[in-house]
Amino acid sequence: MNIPWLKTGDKILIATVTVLAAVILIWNILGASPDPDVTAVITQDGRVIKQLDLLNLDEPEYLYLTGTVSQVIVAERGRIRFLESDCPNRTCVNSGWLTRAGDRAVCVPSRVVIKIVGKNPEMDTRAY
Amino acid sequence: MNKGQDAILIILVCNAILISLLESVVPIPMPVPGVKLGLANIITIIAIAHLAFKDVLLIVFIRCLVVAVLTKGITALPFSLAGGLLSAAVMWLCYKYLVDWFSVKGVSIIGAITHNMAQLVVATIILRESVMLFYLPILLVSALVTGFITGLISESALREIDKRGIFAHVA
Repeated sequence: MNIPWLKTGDKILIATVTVLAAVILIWNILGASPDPDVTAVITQDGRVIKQLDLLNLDEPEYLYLTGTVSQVIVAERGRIRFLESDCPNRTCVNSGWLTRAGDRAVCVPSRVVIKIVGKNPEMDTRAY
Repeated sequence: MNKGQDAILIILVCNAILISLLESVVPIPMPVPGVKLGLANIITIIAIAHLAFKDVLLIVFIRCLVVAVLTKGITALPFSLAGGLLSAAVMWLCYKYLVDWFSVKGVSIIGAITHNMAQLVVATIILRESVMLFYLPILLVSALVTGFITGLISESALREIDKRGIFAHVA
């Protein structure tokens, strides 16, 4: 074949995207607080429906959400996750445990977002 | 449009739907939840190479509609439509006007990135909360990888179609 395997634009594209992704990733990591005191914020339609201080949980706390999608969120000391959901592709459940400030899990069908913020939420939301 | 192009359109729509369905039935394990290869992109690229712009959009539209009804449900429809149509449009522009710059692999990567960006924007609108920056790195890298793989397959598919003259007697 006389056409080059990768053309100039291809190479520039691949390099640019890789660098861009790395920069944003580093920005996100630096933006996340190293503060071990973590609070989970659960929002639906952009409104906060529950806020949990994850380090002050002595036993697992379950949150049952009903509506068009029923789902169960479980919080334990230091971590939180979507446990069950009857949404179609269960991306939220597959996201697994959230442990660090900046972690988040999203369920689009129910429009629920769980995110973890440090003690000082202002600092963590700066990057978004 | 003549009968030959009608035939190509129908063949491509059927293949796009079948590939999408197969991909959702036979899960290919991915390191990131929610990320998939997007093999139907191969059909979009073949369509771009052989059909008019509005026919390409029609193929993507029908594929998204049928696959949403049969598998993921209506909540997924705005996502696949926004991603599918926008990436088809951007790939069409790149394929037609930037052919000196980008190979089919590059065009496919650009399409995958557009697809993921469109989905992020729709997610931000539906969730009423910006999830852009958090998911951007992961979606950029996965677009790079999946776009490259589907681009590679598309390139050999286009070469074979040309070499064997598969569409030659109908177009």
